[in-house]
Amino acid sequence: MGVQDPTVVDDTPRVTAPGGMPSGPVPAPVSPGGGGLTGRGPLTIIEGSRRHWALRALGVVAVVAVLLLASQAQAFRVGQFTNVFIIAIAIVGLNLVTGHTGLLSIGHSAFFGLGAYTTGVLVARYDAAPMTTIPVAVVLSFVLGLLVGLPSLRIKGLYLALVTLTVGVSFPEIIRRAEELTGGAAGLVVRSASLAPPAWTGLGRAQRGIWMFWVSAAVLLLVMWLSRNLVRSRFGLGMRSTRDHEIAAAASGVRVARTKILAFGVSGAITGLAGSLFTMYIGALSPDGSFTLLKSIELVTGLVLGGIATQLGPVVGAVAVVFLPQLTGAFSTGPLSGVVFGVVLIAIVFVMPEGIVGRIGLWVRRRVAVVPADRPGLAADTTAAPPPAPPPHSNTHNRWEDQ
Amino acid sequence: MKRFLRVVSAAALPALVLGACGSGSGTDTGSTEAGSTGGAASAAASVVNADNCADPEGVKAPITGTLKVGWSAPTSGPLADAVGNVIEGMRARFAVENAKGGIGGVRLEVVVKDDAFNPERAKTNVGELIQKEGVHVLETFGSGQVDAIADDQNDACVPLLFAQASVPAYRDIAKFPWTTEYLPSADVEMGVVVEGLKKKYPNGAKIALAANQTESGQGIANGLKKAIEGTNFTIAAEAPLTDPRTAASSLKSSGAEILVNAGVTTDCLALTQAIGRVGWKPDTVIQPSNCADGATLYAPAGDAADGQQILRWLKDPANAAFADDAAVKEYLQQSAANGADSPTNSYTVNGWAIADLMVDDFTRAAKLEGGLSRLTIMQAARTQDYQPPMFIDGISFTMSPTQAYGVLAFQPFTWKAADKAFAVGGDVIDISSQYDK
Amino acid sequence: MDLFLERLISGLTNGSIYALLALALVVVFRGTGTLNFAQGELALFTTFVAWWLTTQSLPIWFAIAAALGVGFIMGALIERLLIRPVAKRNDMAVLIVALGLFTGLNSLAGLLWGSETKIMPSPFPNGESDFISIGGARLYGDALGVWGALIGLMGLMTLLFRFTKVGLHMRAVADNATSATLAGVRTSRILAIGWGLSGAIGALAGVLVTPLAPQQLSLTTMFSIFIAASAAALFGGLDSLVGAVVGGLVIGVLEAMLTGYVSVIGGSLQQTSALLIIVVILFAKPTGLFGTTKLVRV
Repeated sequence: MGVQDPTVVDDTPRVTAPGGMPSGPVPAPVSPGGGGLTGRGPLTIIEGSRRHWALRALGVVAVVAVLLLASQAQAFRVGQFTNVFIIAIAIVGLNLVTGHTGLLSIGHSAFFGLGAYTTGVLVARYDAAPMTTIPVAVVLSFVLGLLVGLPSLRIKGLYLALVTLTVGVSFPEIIRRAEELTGGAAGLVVRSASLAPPAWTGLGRAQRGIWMFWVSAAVLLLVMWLSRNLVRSRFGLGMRSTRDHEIAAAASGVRVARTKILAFGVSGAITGLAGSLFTMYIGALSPDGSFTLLKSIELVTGLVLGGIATQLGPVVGAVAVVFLPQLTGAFSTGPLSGVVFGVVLIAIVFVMPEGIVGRIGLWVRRRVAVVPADRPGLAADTTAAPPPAPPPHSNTHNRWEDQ
Repeated sequence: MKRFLRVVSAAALPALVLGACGSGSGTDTGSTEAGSTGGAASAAASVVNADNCADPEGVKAPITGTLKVGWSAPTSGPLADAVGNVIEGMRARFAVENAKGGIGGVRLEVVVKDDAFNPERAKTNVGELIQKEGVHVLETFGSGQVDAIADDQNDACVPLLFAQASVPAYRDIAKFPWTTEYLPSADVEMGVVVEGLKKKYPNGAKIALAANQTESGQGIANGLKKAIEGTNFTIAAEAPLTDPRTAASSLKSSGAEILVNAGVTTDCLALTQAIGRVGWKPDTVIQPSNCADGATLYAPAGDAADGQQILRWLKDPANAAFADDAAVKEYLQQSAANGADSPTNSYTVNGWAIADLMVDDFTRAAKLEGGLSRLTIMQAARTQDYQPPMFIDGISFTMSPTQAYGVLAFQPFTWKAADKAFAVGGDVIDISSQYDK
Repeated sequence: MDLFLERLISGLTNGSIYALLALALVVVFRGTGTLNFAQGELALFTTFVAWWLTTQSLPIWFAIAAALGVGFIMGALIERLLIRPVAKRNDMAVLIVALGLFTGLNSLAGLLWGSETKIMPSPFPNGESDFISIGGARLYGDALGVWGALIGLMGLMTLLFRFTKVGLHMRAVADNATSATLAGVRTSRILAIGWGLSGAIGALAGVLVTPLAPQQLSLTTMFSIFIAASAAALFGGLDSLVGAVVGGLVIGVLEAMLTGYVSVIGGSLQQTSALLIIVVILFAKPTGLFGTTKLVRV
């Protein structure tokens, strides 16, 4: 439990903004190790301390445990989880450009589809090994992303969303046209024989389900780690400042044009990667089945439900968009499930406009705060330093929160 | 003279042999005997066996208690009503069979999972149906869905029977021994169309083709192009059906005598109204077989739809021409009594007919060596030659170890605007001889 | 020549429908600053209501009037109950509410009235012989009716915005909501009226388009029309009514001409090519052809 430092007396009135977060001046200092769940202010954890490493290790163990547990489920559930991972990867990509750079994109289904068809065409028509097609899909999606990013220099806001809409709508039409290569409206089927796990894994064709599960999980973790590092890097800072106030960013020396175009490129590349894995998972591609505007809507819905500009939001959002229709379909049949889905979607947005992870993040940050070791206010002796003030939070803030 | 006779007999012999082969399966309307089933079944056994199955014992295990048919279907969304009717028809037919004691005491049950016409959900649904629900037979609706599940269901050796699709790839028995499709192949349908056209236009004619850009539309368009190869019919103009009015204007200027609608149910009425509005009345208008509903797809167009031709394989309970048919009367009474809300709807009739075909399969499978099991069901399906009572007389559903086309004959019907009904437009045209090798 | 005229007429008719729905989108944008993603499905729902009334043997004009009323009420209710609480918090949240409505309304229509295609009677004469000949092409009664409706609506809207108090208030709220409130405008009521108005316009677009649409009245009728209408609204500038109309007509005519004359594009790239041209024009004028460029102090 904490001991109050007698030299600092807090007698300023506290104002509680809606949401219950104290705003304004620094509350009564409590030493780290105290407070937290007992309600005297958040539990602070210094980055790099033993406590922090313990927390991280716990996290890793939890993730591995969950994955191992999931892989033991029945085969169709494992397939469902694989689908969730793939959608999550796609949403991580979308998050980069829409969440962190502030450019709404409702055409990401085109990147997803480009990645998917690249792998599909290479495997079905040119007998490539599936895993070797991934770099090709990523590069092509990156290039398309750069191209889509170009209009963002001149066109902004909802008008830019229209450009992305155009990309999203035109993709299935172009696929249908390029019949020779893509099979046209009839779709492209990659037979499971071509999708068998590579020889070095020792798995047979029948185990391709579990193979894709682990590949997708690994890629998801990799992509999340990359995204986290990108957002925290200098480039990421540029992205976020472009989102928050473009002119101020430009005035501060951020190369706004380059940032926007590259953001689209990287975002497209990641979503294209998801598409590539999707082909390996499902083996059957149809332009009107999975790559229409409805897929873009699914991705955006997942992003917002999970929490825009959060790290874990894409995963939660992917779980929601894959399992929610399943759940509503289990309770009610036919068109009623569509109504229930719409109602649930609206309800979630009403209750948690910052997304599920956003809301959980608020709750967590009230209890636990991870701070860098060189934060002002913390003495070298970590046992008697006052805690940092929680950042003022306002629920009427119109911008997307960053974690 | 002697030499002449020798030449004639030399020519006659192969013709006779071919003729005998051709008439073998296409025109049989009765169910096969146990003896011929045995012979055909052994041929099927060479194609369908449990060797490559993940679980060979499960495949051969006798089915007792309940036989489950599992659907992955779009029960939500724009196709919900149509699919709902098909399933009602199937459930009604199974109810009738269950009342008679089922298949040797085994009850028939239908399980449905919604996939919202989404291939990913279809794949998950089928996995769940096989692994959790333990279904013995699968059914699905839509080519995208069949694409998504074909590999999985073939690996698991669970029969997918009478899939509501018509993708050419799955007619390949060697690659997909456990998959059969119900809808007629576009190639077959167009083949029959061209046979009919040859009678009406012995010297050939120009064809205007209105093609839907989806897979079914393209399938019909390509089927037509294949069928007219080597004939004196030509395609004078082709237009996409994305905007029927623009298509009608473009096709009118070609001056063709025949208009073929390579489209889906949503195109039939639109195209008819469009050609009416541009003032074009081609000599012959061919509608695709899935544009079967007269009340919603032909009547509203008034005179513009008069004389349009369609091919059918099912009896239409709503049509006066079939009012006295004993099978139709029995169907109407039994389906309504067993929960079918709209017995005259063509989708309900399809569902009933498919269930009928399944019951025929199951019954014959039970008599095969090993009793009723997934393996024998598939073997029976591969050797089917049966005319469901609701199929037009002379048309049966045939599958053999060498061909998997199912419906190989149609009867043309013509729409009479004054009567607001279809009238018989000719005899049954059977081209099964072209497919029986 | 008559082929060209036929295509032009067809393009203008389709374009008028896009223009009507685009008008509805612009009205909402001027009030709330957001694109109503559910506009198409709301129009679809009210059209189903109109259809249902005609099956109850009520005359078509009554059914249309009723649909307009239902559209107005539903639009206002949606704004008041679903949009206003969320608009304060988050731009994206409004988008998701609209997406939820998009799915929900479509499914609700399917639930209440079934998903089979329905035939919608037209309020205008559209029989085989109800046409006038123009240079060899036929101009049918219902096409003329749609154009008339569009012109009539444009006239009404101009009157509303320029000569009525409500219109003045709406323009004030669109310009600067805070100042308007300070000046005594009942902002909340105006916002609800704005959405109600757009709901009614959408209903009108719906009942006029369904007799002409290839699939008549089905659950998928309004989706592609909505996409074209959004493009039209954006192309013309989201805050410009004239722009919406021009945008709609341009897209309609472009689609018809491209499909007819550029065969390499044909029908399969119809939507793509029209949208691409819009994008190119946006490059030249980033806020739409008639949109106002906002000057912001930084």
